[in-house]
Amino acid sequence: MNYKQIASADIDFLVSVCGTDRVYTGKAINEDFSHDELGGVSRMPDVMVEVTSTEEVSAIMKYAYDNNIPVTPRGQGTGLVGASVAMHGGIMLNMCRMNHFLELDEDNLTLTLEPGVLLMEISKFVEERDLFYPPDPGEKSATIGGNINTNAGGMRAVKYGVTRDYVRGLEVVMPDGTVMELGGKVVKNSSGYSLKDMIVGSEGTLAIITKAILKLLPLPQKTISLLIPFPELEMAIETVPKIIKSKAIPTAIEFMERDVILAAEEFLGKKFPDNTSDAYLLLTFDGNSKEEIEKAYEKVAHICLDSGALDVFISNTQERHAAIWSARGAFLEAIKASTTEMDECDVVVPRKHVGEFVKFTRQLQDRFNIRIMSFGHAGDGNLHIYVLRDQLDEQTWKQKLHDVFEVMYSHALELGGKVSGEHGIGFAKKPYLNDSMGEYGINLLRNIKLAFDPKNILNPGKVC
Amino acid sequence: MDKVKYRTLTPEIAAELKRIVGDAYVIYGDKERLEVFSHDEIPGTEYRGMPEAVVRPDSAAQISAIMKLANLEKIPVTPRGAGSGLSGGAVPVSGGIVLCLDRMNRILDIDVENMMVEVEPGVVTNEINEALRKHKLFYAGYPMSLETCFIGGNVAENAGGGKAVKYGVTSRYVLGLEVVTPTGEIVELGGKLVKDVTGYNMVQLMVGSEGTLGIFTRIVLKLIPLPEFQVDLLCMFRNTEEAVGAVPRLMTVSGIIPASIEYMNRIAVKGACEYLNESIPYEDCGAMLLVSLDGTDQERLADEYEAVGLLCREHGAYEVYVADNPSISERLWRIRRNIGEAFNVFSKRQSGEDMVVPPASLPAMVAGLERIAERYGISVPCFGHAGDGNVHARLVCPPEWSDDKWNSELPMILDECYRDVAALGGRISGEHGIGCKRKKYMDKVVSPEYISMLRAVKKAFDPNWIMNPGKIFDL
Ligand SMILES: Cc1cc2nc3c(=O)[nH]c(=O)nc-3n(C[C@H](O)[C@H](O)[C@H](O)COP(=O)(O)OP(=O)(O)OC[C@H]3O[C@@H](n4cnc5c(N)ncnc54)[C@H](O)[C@@H]3O)c2cc1C
Ligand SMILES: Cc1cc2nc3c(=O)[nH]c(=O)nc-3n(C[C@H](O)[C@H](O)[C@H](O)COP(=O)(O)OP(=O)(O)OC[C@H]3O[C@@H](n4cnc5c(N)ncnc54)[C@H](O)[C@@H]3O)c2cc1C
Repeated sequence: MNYKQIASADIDFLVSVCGTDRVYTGKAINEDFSHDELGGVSRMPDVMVEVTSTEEVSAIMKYAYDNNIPVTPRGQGTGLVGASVAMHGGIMLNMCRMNHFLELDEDNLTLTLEPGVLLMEISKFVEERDLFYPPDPGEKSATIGGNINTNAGGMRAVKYGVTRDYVRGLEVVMPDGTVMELGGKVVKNSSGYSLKDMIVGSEGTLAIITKAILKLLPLPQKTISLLIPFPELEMAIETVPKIIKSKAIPTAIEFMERDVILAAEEFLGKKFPDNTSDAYLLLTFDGNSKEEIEKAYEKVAHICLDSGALDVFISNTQERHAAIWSARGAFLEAIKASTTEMDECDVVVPRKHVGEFVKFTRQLQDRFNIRIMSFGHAGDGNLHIYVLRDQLDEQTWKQKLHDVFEVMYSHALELGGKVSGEHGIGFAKKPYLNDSMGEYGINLLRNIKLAFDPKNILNPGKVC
Repeated sequence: MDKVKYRTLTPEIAAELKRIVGDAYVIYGDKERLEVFSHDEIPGTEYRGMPEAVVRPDSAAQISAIMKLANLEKIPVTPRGAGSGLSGGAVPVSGGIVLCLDRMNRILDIDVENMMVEVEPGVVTNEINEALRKHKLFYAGYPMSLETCFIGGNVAENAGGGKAVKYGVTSRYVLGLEVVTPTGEIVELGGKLVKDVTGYNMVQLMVGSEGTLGIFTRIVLKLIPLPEFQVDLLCMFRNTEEAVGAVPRLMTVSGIIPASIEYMNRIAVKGACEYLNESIPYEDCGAMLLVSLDGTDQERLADEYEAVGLLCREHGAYEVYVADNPSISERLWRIRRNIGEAFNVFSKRQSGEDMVVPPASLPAMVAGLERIAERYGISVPCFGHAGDGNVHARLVCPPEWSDDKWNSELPMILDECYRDVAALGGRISGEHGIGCKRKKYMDKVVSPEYISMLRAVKKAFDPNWIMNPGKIFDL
């Protein structure tokens, strides 16, 4: 790839658009901007710009397009696949200052906002008004722009779906600086290809999001969680399809193992409500009345007990609920803290194969003599499996990681699964995408990329 | 029109097509039989085009061979489902091959554990739900034409309607597709996965692409538990303003989300009743809402319909009839489903529109429509999916107008309508698609850059522009 190297004239241009305060070069760029939450992939951008408006983004893109300079959009950098790392240097567009709520439309139940608003700010804003933005990925300090670009999933996907299901409209800046509106406040649309859906999940490679219209729901009035201990993980996971089949629709179905809970207790310095069993299912139910929820969870509690659950703990107070879910939210950090380095596999498989797949990955621990931990969204087939480096030397680690991933991804593929359920492909998972899509499939992705970005200047080196 | 030059389908190519699918499944040279495939359900003769051959394949492999041949020979190919479309999507406007999918009509797998069903594109939509009933599962994305249309056509149009207010339209239920691309490759997109961020989302790109990006040969649909109980409320209002005005309130005030909220104005109901020889008391009524509530809990449903009924009264309904058994429900829905057909019989000179606006802007849009109709002196039976902000307006030519007058006034009327729609943040089509019928109005609502982008995306799939050309946009 032959990109123009950033020169002082380019910096001058950026300063002319944004002023000196918001343009950073060299040592002035914080080291954090060279990587995301995934270890191992890092590169500093040549210049980092904090943009504040669509017009600025458009002017910069037009300039970058004309001059063939790579541009990497960046939210909070909490991604897990290196998608927001400037692999070819150039300009990093930091979207975090575009963080305003623009309009709450209570008649259409939509929220219009800028991409840098944080997920936690959204939930606070809407819940104060008795409204609800359902997607609930673990990392609450991520930006909505990042969430949309990774089509983030999260804890409530079983009942409510993922970020895509709540994106009604987008304003985007194309790689050549053109500003476009995609979708809108309409709830259905058969007027041309859904370009909006192309952008959702495109990991900053097709366009830059400068505004989003989100769909909201009325806030469910009651929530209850069930923590259900099982003597062993397989038994817990085998129960999940039975729950789904019973047609009760929980908000969340998560599975966890004892090791992970212990790690979280140590990490948080707080006790989990129970840590005596080998495995747990964590379920949430929500709704508008107590009776409605009780009816649903009683059925499910019985299914679990019939399938070998040791007990059913009901947490119906706000505090207990929060205690359990904050522990769940810390799993990733906790596992990370328990080792020297790790990498993640975020495969998704058909729901009925979750049990089989988890069993398979556990066997890999012995086969490759390496520590593997997992937890995940059992209710939607999306697993987070972590391979831990511990004391391995660099070369052994790289080799083992490669070998383990190779078998994991190819087994997922055999089961009808895919490389990523919610964290994306970014930079780190590209080799596995190649394997799973085949040559024609990858070429199709590349053709689409070129249709949006003929010069390949927007976040190059990612996805395909 | 399209700048691309296509080749003529020669007898040699026809023979090759016969080799691929078998003699019995190619129609060639028989004008009468070809004529059947020259139109869809748009009334009148304006949006027609004769195919040079109709081919009825039975597998993805056959379709792949046909596409390779067509791509090589530069012959346009138009996929066709049941031909129930209302935007001319299945009409071969540049001639060439019509690829009719009626033989690929198998339900391949009802996967109860994953709550999914895998079907071929030629399955009649309603048959899916018939087959699912014994498993107490349900496909919720179906349109009103469910008894005739094919699921493949639904996916291609992103159809919706039946229960879209609560359950959403087709796109929400399509998880996986097997697609034969314009160059003849067979690709698997998505799968039996409820979430998937592996590469760009080509499944959602395919949904609503009107047969211009590829041919669906297998479809994985997500299912929901069958809502076993349903109650319908027929709410009578004095005028349209009150009826449509009640819709946004219904949804936001009660916190209850009905499965559907259908709107019908008086002319529409009258037309359908006369056509069906049916009687409901519409004389005093300016407009009606047909509100459908469903669920798996009968008691809760009863509470809900009480609440919704009350709310309708508070917002101006002077009468609310409750239909809580299937036969009365069916009578009401039959009226709703037959409005379109009634007006087809009544006049061939008409234009069926499918505008969609943000739900809360529906009153403004309908008021605007009525103003425009009055000014031009035409009648506009209006009906449709009010809960989604999607209304079907039939612009009906007055019997005394000459063809010339109609042909010259209609574009002006539509121009005005779409300008209103654009100003309200709406779109030209909520569910019927653009096809060849509405493409000339696209630029009223979207920017030229957007249309260029559509073209660029098409090119990524279809380098020789052979796949259903002349639809959505000019090439
Ligand atoms: C502890 C932890 C828990 C997590 N849990 C979950 C989870 O449950 N579910 C889940 O899905 N993810 C989860 N994640 C991953 C991560 O939080 C998400 O991927 C999130 O969406 C990233 O948002 P961000 O603002 O940090 O974006 P970044 O990491 O900065 O960027 C992500 C991608 O979006 C692009 N991008 C950002 N903003 C824009 C914009 N405005 N326009 C165009 N492109 C843009 C970037 O180029 C990049 O490709 C977790 C991460 C951590 C650290
Ligand atoms: C009385 C009546 C009521 C209706 N009600 C509704 C309603 O409530 N909601 C609604 O949305 N629509 C409605 N419609 C419109 C129509 O039924 C839908 O658009 C339907 O989805 C078309 O399906 P079809 O099989 O008839 O497709 P066709 O008309 O044959 O084709 C439609 C489009 O799909 C493409 N296509 C078909 N099969 C495939 C395939 N396998 N792969 C790729 N492309 C394909 C064609 O090329 C064409 O562009 C109604 C129509 C009628 C006549």
